[in-house]
Amino acid sequence: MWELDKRNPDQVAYQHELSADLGIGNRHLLVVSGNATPNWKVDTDELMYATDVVVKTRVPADFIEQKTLTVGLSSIANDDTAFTFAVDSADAVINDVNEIDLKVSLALQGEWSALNRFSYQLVATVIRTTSEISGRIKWPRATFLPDNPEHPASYTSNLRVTASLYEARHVSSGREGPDFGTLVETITPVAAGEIVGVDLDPEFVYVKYRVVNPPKNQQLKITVDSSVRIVTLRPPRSFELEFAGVQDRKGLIQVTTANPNGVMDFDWIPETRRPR
Amino acid sequence: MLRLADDFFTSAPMITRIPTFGPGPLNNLAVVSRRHYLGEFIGEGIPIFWYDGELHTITARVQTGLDLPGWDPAASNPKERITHSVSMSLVGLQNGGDSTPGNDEGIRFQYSIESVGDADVVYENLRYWYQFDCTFTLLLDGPELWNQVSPSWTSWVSYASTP
Repeated sequence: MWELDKRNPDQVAYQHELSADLGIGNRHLLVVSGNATPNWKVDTDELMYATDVVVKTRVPADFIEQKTLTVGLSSIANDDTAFTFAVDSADAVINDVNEIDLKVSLALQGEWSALNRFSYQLVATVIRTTSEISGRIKWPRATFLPDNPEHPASYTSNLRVTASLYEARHVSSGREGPDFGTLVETITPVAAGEIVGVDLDPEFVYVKYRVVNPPKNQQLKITVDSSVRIVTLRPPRSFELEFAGVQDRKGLIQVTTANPNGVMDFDWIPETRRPR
Repeated sequence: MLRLADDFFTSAPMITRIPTFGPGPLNNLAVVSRRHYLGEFIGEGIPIFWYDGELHTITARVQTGLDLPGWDPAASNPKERITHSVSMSLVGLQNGGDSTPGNDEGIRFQYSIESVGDADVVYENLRYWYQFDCTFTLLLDGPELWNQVSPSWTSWVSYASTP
């Protein structure tokens, strides 16, 4: 079983998604079209090979009510032999992180033959509870205040909010190695946040952000990166503001179908309190 | 109403343009809400190309008029209000084999749909057109061979009418 992930352009060449809110009970009409890239090659025409492929579309959905799915060959090659190219079956299912996976069966024969890509189009009505992580980012206005400070757009070039998948594991291989037992943390960006509001008081700036439809049932690490350029200084100087999650110092949070909304606030860390 | 732009087959000199490019109709127009429409277009094209053992890249432009309910492109920039989701696959393949005397075998070939571009809207001939570009690569090893490939597409177009 191979996995082809929409996040990897070498595995899914492109994917176009349409979503229309049907206005009843979180129902949406989805059209998801793409071109997956198994790059499968065999080198005998005396045997037909078969394999199953999972296309991870990364389209969030909690339940599929109705669906039609078509798949077709989109890139094949053969070197002057008998051949078979086939996309035998396809189905769309919800995986354990509430995203749509496509399960596709392929067959191939030839000496040589290649089934490089197949296309797909899913038309479905789904029930989708929109998940959202939101919060505010706080810092002293004396530290940084952009032009037009009351407008959210004034901060979009300075603050970048990202939701990433968080995985932590202890190194268990290489028992004799120096890394045995070391905690390895991996983060993979999956969704970008947006700045949606600003509050100002005499002392502080409070910027409101949200991340719409982050993956459910997974530990997510929310990060706030900043790059600020103060032009009133002579000469103008760029530096970074550092923030830490208030509820969880690691900035970890999880949303589910039952609890689709999460809150994570961030406070500026003064330079004197930053870890050395 | 579906048509191909005039420059469809001009980017590869070995391509012979033929009149059998058979675009399909507009199907299953669905009104999703009062101001949000989905339209489905289905089409198929049949380029014939000639042997030369080279890998050719062909850029095609699929285009159809936007005679859709509620469409008032003059109200705002139509490009900002139209999106699409296109699946394109091969539905027909044919090759003429190798005509070299004594050789009745097939030939080396490669047919690929490489990319499908974003939805676009243009104003031409006093009307608005929805269009997108797509690219194929095709290879056929000669001599004196011919091939035919039929790419088909399903294009779901989403747009919002004027409030």
